[in-house]
Amino acid sequence: MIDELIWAIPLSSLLAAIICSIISITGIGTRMAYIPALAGMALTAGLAIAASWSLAGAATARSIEGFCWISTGPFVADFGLRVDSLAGLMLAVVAPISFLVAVYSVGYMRGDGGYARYFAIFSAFVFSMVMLVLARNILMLYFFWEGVGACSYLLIGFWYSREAAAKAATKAFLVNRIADCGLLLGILLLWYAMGTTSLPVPGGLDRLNMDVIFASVNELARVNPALLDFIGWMILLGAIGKSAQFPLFVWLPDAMAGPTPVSALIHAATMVTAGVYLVARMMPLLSATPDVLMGTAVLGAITAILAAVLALFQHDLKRMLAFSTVSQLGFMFMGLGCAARHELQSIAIIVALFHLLTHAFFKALLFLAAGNVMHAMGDDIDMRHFSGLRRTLPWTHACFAIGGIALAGLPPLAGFWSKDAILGVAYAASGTNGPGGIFQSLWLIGLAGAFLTAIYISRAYFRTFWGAEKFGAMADQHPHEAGNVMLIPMMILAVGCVVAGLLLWPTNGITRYLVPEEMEHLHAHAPWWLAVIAILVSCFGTWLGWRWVARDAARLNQHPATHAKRDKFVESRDPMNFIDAVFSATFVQPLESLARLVGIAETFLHYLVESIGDVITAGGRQIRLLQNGSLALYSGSMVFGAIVLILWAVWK
Amino acid sequence: MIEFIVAQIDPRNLSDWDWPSIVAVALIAWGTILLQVGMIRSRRQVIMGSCIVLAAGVIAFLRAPHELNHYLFLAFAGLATAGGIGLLVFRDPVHAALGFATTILSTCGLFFLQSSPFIGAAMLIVYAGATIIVFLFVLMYAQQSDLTYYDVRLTAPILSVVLTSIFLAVLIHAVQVPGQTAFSGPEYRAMSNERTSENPGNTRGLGRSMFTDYLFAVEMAGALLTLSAVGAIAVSLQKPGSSPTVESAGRNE
Amino acid sequence: MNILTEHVLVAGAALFALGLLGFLTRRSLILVFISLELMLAAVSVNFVAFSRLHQNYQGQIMAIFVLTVAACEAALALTLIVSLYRRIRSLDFQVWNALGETSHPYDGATPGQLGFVPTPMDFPRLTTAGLDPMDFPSPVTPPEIANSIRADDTLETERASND
Repeated sequence: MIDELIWAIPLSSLLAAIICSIISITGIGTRMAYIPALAGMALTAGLAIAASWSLAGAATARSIEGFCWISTGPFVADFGLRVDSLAGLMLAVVAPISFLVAVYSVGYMRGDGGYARYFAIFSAFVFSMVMLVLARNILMLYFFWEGVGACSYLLIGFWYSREAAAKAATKAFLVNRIADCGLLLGILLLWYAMGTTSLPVPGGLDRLNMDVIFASVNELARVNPALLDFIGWMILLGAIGKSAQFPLFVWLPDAMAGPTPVSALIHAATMVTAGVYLVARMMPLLSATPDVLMGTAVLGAITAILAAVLALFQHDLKRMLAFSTVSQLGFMFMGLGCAARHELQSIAIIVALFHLLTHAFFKALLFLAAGNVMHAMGDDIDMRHFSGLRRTLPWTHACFAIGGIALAGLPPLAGFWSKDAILGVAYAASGTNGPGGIFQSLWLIGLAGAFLTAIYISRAYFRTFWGAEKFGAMADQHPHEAGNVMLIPMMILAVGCVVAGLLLWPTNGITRYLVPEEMEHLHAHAPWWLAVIAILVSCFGTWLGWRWVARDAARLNQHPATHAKRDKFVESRDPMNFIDAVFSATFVQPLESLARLVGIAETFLHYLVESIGDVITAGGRQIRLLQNGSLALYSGSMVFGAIVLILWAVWK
Repeated sequence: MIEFIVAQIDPRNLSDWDWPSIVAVALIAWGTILLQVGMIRSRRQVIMGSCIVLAAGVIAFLRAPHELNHYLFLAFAGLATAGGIGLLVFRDPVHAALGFATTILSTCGLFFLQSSPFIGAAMLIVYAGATIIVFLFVLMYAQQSDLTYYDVRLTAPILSVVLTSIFLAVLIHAVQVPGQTAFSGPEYRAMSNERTSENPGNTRGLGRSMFTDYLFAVEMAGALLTLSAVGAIAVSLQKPGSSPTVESAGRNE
Repeated sequence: MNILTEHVLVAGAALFALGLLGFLTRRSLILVFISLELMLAAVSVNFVAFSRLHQNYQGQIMAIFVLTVAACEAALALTLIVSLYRRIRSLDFQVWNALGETSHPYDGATPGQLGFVPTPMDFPRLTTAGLDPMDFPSPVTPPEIANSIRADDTLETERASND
């Protein structure tokens, strides 16, 4: 593929965003706003697939020249693209799924007041995400990192008149701010640290060029290992913020206040995986800091199990899926963290990216199916209000079943292969030498997480689609299946769920794509019985989830009052409330008190400033009288000034 | 500050001051005061003021070395001062302008004495030949037959004289105070005496310097002259009464 | 013995002081400008003395530029004087004090004259930090305050036009 054509991948989406913005501002042809957006994103998706096809096996990065972005003294930053197989894989995930979700949105968002605004922000998100993936300069990566964050903020708060949406957007923004501050600090420190090394030639003066950074990692580690370690932790902080890892995962469940396609695309399939991508991208740098990778693995495992436990307690289908997303991202981080074992570095990236890919498919599918349910139930998504929807929504039911099986990790769907691969790598990392013990427990935690995953997703599935047919109070009299424009993208995603794992893992397609030279090492570490254990655990979890629902239903029939009480009890015990309370007590309330204190000080300052202004105004009124138009006064004052000046010059 | 003033009046330091010229200047200042006040007062004060100024000239003459160039210097400087005083004290603006002409002519003499013949000639031509004539034309155009109130009255004469005297004292202090500036002290005098005996006045060298080192400034000055000519014509073509501020201009009359 | 630079400087200072005194005291516009020219001439004397002292041409060139600027100034000044004289038939420069400030901002000038238009002063005010902006929505001046400010302004404008 021609290199210059790669610029067209992001730019076509940008053009779509601009056109949609114009439509949104002028209000002309609002109902047609999806046409430019779909056209731009189709172009993006097509070109991205072509580009990623041509990048197969290109483990060595290739630079595409852009222009000089910043050049102030020693600070030089180029605006260029950098493509390799990693970026190619991300493009292949991001762009087509964005397109499919955009098609789904055409139906889902129809009739909404902000139709054009929605597509404008959506296209802008795709542009930012593609640029983030392709960025050559780490500062540029940060720029678009903030860009996707801003789009996420705008889309969470899309229905800004709803208080919950506005608050959720603010929360997401603020939590991400903590992480982004860390990332920015890391980038600036990296710039500083690069100044202490002798730059190799290829990036020129641009110290933040990734090629230059990766080429001088050894020297960085030699000159100032502690600083490099700190930079690594800061990059990890940025990643866990964007990817909603413990302890900064609190924003993602609330982010479901946005439109469901947005949840599917941004908060499940693409943007939240930016953290995973960042760590994978920075792996040449982070491989010099095994502690950071170790921390990545531990944080990932904690998140995986914690979010899975929290998902068990949810009644809100979308919220449950959000916790599931957090948990799956934890799996990815765990896989990435296995790179702490140096010999597993490439495989760690491969499995994490593989899980990213499969997760993007099945989680987007699950979210879109949940969107259909929500549509049919009149914007009601509480699982307690409805059940037995499989006859009303047959296609949705099928799609949700496929996505759910994939998520639960039952063979032969995509989720099984990728989750099994991550567990395999974690097991392989738990050798006898080095930090093997930690990885052994991580493997166990991962297994437990997989077990819980199977429970909560099968519970959600059976509860929603099986049992007695029941509709919520807000639903129409005759809930109906969604239109074709929404179903067809879901079917494509469902096909992806089914075939992606089979095509890519047993045939080693993903390895051949990402790091061809790792082919023979891949299956050496994981014994065959791991997969058997994983299948057994998943099956058991699925059965348990089904039993749970069945027992609940039986109880509901026998003792409705007791059941309602118990339900209420479970809801009031939602552990997320506890976690939110901890966050509120430790961070939010002290800061609020500080702000009130500052407010008191500011009141004083306010009057101080006002009185300074008053004094100056009053003085000005008096001094103005000097300006009386009398030339004699002016010239006399001038002479006086001259006298003072001369005396000063003489007596100085 | 206080120590400094004490050191200034310390008799041991006084010998360094060029007392005669200070006395001369002080006498000129005094005489000017009398003459200025005499502008609307009696003829006796005019005579007294003139006598005082003359006394200053005599003092300056007596203390000067008896050489021709010093006599010439004194003559030109005295004439210039007298012209300046004339500008101040003559009621009739035409007489005052003639006093100014005297000053300019004497200044040209000073330039010649300072071996700057080109400046002297240029000054003679531009000022005495052109500017003063134009001033006189304007005076004749704008001047009524007899004196007006603004020819006779002064703006805050006492205050102005005090201020100007302080200014002059400070200037002379800056030039003369021992050890404080570059223009005093015996070694400086020796240097000045030695250097000024050479001849820097060379019109050819001046021209070369102007058209090489200062070419841009010369061009700018040319542009300035053109602009001012155009501006003067533009202003003078304006018809009176075309601006709305005529009424409000003289509101304090 | 040659003429000391010092003496020339004193002579220049005396001339300058005389010009200054004339500038301060005389009231006729023409004489004020002549005094100005006298000061410029005194400065030229100093420049030439320095040129002789330092044995270079810089001072003389400076004197030439002073001469040039003085010529320009004289041309424009005389034009202006003639033009002013044609307006009010007087050469008293104290008449021309219309640009001075007076005791009240709108004294003697109705709004709109001399390009002066009084504007109501309603600056935006931000909510104090630590308070929820939703509870204290004051992004602009509260209307009653803004109205009172406007009322003040109208009052002043009326007062000014009565003057």
